[in-house]
Amino acid sequence: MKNRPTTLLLLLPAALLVGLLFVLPILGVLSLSVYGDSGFTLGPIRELVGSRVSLVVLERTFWQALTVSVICVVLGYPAAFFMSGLSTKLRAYLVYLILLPFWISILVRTYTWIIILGREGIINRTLAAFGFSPVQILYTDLAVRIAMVQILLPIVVLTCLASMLDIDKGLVKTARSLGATPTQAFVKVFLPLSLSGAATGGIICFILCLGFYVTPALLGGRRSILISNLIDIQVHQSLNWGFAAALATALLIITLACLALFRLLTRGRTEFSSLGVGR
Amino acid sequence: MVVNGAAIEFKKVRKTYGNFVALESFSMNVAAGEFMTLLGPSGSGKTTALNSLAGFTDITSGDILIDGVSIARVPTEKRNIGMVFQNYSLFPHRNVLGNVAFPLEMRGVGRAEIRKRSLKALEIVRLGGLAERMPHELSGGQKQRVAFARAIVFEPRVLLMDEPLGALDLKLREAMQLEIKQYQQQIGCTVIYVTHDQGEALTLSDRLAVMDKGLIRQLGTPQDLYDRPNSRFVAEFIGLNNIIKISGSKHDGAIVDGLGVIRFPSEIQPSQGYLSVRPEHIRRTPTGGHPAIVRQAVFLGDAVRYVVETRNGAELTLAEPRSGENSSLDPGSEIAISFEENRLIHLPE
Ligand SMILES: Nc1ncnc2c1ncn2[C@@H]1O[C@H](COP(=O)(O)OP(=O)(O)O)[C@@H](O)[C@H]1O
Ligand SMILES: [Mg+2]
Repeated sequence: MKNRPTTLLLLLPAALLVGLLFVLPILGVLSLSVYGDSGFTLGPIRELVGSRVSLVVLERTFWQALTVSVICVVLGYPAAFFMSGLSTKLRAYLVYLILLPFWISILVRTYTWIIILGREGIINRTLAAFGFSPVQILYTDLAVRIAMVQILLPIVVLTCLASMLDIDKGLVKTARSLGATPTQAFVKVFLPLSLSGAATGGIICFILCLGFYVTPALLGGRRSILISNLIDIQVHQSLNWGFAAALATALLIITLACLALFRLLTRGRTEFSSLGVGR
Repeated sequence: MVVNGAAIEFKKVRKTYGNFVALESFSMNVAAGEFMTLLGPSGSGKTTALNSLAGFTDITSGDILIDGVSIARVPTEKRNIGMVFQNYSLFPHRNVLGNVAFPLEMRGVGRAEIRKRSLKALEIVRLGGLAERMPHELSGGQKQRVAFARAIVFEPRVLLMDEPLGALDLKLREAMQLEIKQYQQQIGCTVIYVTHDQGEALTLSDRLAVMDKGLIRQLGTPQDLYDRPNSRFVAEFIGLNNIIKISGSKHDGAIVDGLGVIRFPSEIQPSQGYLSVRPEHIRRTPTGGHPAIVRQAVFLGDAVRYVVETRNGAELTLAEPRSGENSSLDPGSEIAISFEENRLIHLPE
């Protein structure tokens, strides 16, 4: 990379945009958590640490994000693997299909789940037809989780697929010629080389989960709200901006901490060297 | 380590992709411990032939035998064939030692043994000091050596190499050729080597097969193919050659374009096809011969190569060894040339 002033200049528009529209507002919000009407204060932070509700919601948000990401990777990786073996044409059709849900608003997709999971919904009616008693899925963490997986799965599939298509298929053949069975070739060559893609997908998924708002608001009960919903309540109902800012700060710190942890765990693993966060 | 090479037999192997024929009645016997080369232009089916032996390609018909046993139903990983690929194909997530150890790991060899044998293989290719390096930290020549070490570490009886030196520069390529040949002679494994470089093929091979469009055009020792090419294709592919059309015959010789009547060393004089003669088998003569004018003189160090034109318009290249201090002829000089009669070859096609 050349670092001449002229090439740095090319970075300027993007840097300005990010600076003005992203970094400044964030700093503003973050500062709200330590600056009140009467100057510097630790009030909101003290309030946060003392608030059982906030801690429970934070923990729940973290758990939801983790489980949803793991489920997405577990479901998405094999799907991507299957797609990586198809002909280019067939694969293109499948990618269209996978992207199809993005044409429909998240709101609509979320409401659809109410029809499926509700008390009079498809699942419960089917159960009733077989003589089972209805189950409560809607307005639980499970409903939120199911809908989040549905929304995020395409992203994980496509991230995994991109990294798999980058793998030189000749390497698997090479492994076979060197004495590896098809399973061994997968485990020893393909899997390690596609792991970074799976990890990237998982991390993107995790970070997106932390910010989910509509889904928990519509499908979760009062006991399944996530941090975004709590922040919303603080801003719109309690009008407690300082507390909302403290929650946002906590969310940001958790996100960064998770990235740092991942970086630590994969340090020196060459599988992740292509991933910015791996080294 | 010494292994007994395996004998390999291709029996009328045919491979088609849709309507396209990549390999046609490909038959070839490779003796145990022999160094066989497949030589041919790009797209002539060399890789297809290697891949069908290695198990990457299912052949359409025919059979391949190793030591007399058909490998049709033997999966790739059980064929025990070492293979070196043109693009090296090193595992990017494993270091040099990890790459070389791979075949041994797959065979369930014990840890200590793996390390010992892998390091020994690296010793052979003189890369002992680089065991911990990652592939992307290696030069092209070093990658090539790692790929070679990985292909021989499990002591396969057959070693396949698909243009292994294609990506290296000339000097390195020549050095590696010698090393490959030395290694093969020491170990005794059977080698099938693919190249499109005729010089490399002549240097390395016990025998070579010249391929074109999925067919073997000629198979023989380097000397056979150099001295007695059976077709214009082979004659042009191997070494420098003068090839001139024959347009008829008389009782005492063939009528060759631009040269007149030329007598072949055979009983019956050909009436069509081509005359082929190597540059080193054309001489300058003080008397008689065919008058010609020097068009170009190229100084080659130990020899001078002249491009001359005969009075009737045939263009010929001749090579003359340099002896003493004599300077080469200037373009425009008038000379007379004659052929070493028993080195004249008739190419039917
Ligand atoms: N998978 C394939 N599908 C269709 N054609 C192929 C395939 N593999 C090779 N070919 C064709 O077969 C011919 C021989 O290929 P190859 O054996 O790789 O030639 P070489 O190694 O001599 O350059 C080429 O014309 C190539 O285009
Ligand atoms: Mg090839």
